[in-house]
Amino acid sequence: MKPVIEVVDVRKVFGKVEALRGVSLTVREGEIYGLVGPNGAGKTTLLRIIAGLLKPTSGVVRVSGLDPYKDFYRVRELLGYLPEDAGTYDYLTGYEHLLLYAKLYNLGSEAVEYGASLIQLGSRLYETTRGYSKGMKRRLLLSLVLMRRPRVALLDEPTAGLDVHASLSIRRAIRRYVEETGSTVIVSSHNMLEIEYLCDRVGLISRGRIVAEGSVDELLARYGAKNLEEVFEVVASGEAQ
Amino acid sequence: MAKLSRPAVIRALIWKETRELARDRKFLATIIASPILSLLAIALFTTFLLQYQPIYVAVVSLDSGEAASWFTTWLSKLLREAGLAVEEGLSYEHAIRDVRFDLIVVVPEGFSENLTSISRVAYVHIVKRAGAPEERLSRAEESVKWAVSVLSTEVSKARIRRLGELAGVGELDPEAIRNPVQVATPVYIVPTGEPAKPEDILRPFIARLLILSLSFIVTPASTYIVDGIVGERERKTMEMLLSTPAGLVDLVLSKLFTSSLIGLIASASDVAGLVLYFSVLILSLGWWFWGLFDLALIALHAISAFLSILVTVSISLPFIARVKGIKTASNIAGLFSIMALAFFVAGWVVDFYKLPPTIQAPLMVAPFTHSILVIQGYVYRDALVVVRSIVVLIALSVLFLYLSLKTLDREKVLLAT
Repeated sequence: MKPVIEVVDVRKVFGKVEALRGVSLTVREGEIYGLVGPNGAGKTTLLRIIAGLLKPTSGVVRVSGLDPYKDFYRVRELLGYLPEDAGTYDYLTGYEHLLLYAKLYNLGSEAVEYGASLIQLGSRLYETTRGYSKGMKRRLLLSLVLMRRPRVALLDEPTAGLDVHASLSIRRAIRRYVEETGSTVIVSSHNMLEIEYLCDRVGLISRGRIVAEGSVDELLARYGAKNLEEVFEVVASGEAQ
Repeated sequence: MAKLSRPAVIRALIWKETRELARDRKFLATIIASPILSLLAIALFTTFLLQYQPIYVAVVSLDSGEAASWFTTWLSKLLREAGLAVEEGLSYEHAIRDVRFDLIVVVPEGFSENLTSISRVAYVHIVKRAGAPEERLSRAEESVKWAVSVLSTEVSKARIRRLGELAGVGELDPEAIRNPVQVATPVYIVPTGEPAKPEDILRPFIARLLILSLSFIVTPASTYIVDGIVGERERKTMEMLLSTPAGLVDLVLSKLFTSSLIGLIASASDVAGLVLYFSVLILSLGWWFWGLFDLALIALHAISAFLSILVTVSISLPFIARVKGIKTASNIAGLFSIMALAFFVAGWVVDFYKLPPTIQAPLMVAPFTHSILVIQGYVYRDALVVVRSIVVLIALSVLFLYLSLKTLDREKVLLAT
């Protein structure tokens, strides 16, 4: 499978803080890549750079061969991004959110219907999002990203703060989406179980660097661990030394 | 996938903005109701207080003569007709001690004798109570002086006629002896030199009021743009929107469109409030009203309001977009609104159109000077100034907007601190 996302030796400095210290990774077509790391490790910064929202201080980023910062508008056609803890517009209904994003991407009613099928909110889709639960809002936001079937989806903490049922619903939607479309997805998460369930490959990020990478089985075998949490513990303690 | 289109993006954002605005009924209600209710309340409050808090005047006579008695009654009647609360027949001591009386008119002893003499002047004394509102005192004093002058004129004319008869003068106009040289009644003309109608005399006052009312408009529009940009970040909708084909420019243009729409709504409501204000005053004070309103003037007010909002928002935009908190952004927007307010309040009392060039030239740098000149230029029937001011306002808005957008990028907006 050909690489869709290529990140080569990317650094990002904010004033005196070096958020990313030479990150490199490659994500192939149809792959779900998990980005795991503690708070402040650089996951969100990396996803924002791949989304073209931030400019790397140095290094190269390519999405389907395009620079997401310089070729911002061309990359929009390929890429969808769900930020961590994103919000909705209180005075718009769920359906109007779908309509808005369809209009922004110049899409027809088919995309809106597809988005509505992903969200599965029933009649509540036509209510303003003021009354939505956190899980309903998150499902709506995910469907806004996926409704136009982007070739690349960047999902930053898609289930953060959600209960078990809502999290399961989101994970299933992501899995179903990739199976249907063959798109490439990067998921960042604190939840190791989620990463194990969803991802084909995982990158462990700590202090602005990818410290370990591979499939879940490879990582478990390499570090003699029972789960990803143990892998991370071993890798992070090695980093600290 | 369909091709991304910039106009479609802007249309989509405007659709979103207007839909949100239409559903935020409380915000809309405050914009519409605020000027209408405040101006109506001011008018009602003013007339209510005027009705129930009249100026109290005591008319005291220390002369028992027939002329003094007649004058006291006549003066009291005139003052009552002028809307003053008058009491007569009180003793001087009583009137002086009673704090209700803002003004005491004293007809001194010997008044009747002096009034009928041709060698003495009949004085009327006015005693004003310190601490009473000066404006009310002046009104009362003017009314008394007017009544006395009416009496004085009639008495002097009667005396002149009588002297003329005694001297055997045939044809005699007492006015020719009383005031042999006079200024005739002033004639008002409009700036083009034609005689002014009553509404032409009052139009500059209305124009000044419209300039002052611009300050009602700039603030809600600035508040909206603050909420539109900083609020978008606080509600955490900004990042996802910036990751779509909606660029920063599109976002700003859609916010500008909506804030201008708000400005126009506020402007219309402001004009409605002014109409109500005048209606109430005129109904209670009995002035002729409708001739004062000039559709062209109101249209220019709306244009000036729209452009004032556009230019204020354009200037404050780069600062607003760079701060994280809504409070800081509101303070920044408030700073620019206060600058605008300073100009509009000055426009209420200062004729910017007639300022000397040395003063006017540096003021031309400020866009709000042009907002004022759009209206004042119309009052002076100077189409060139009106058009020039509109063009300058548009040019300044575009220039500031261009500079604002040049200094901003997605990263700065996203990472605002």
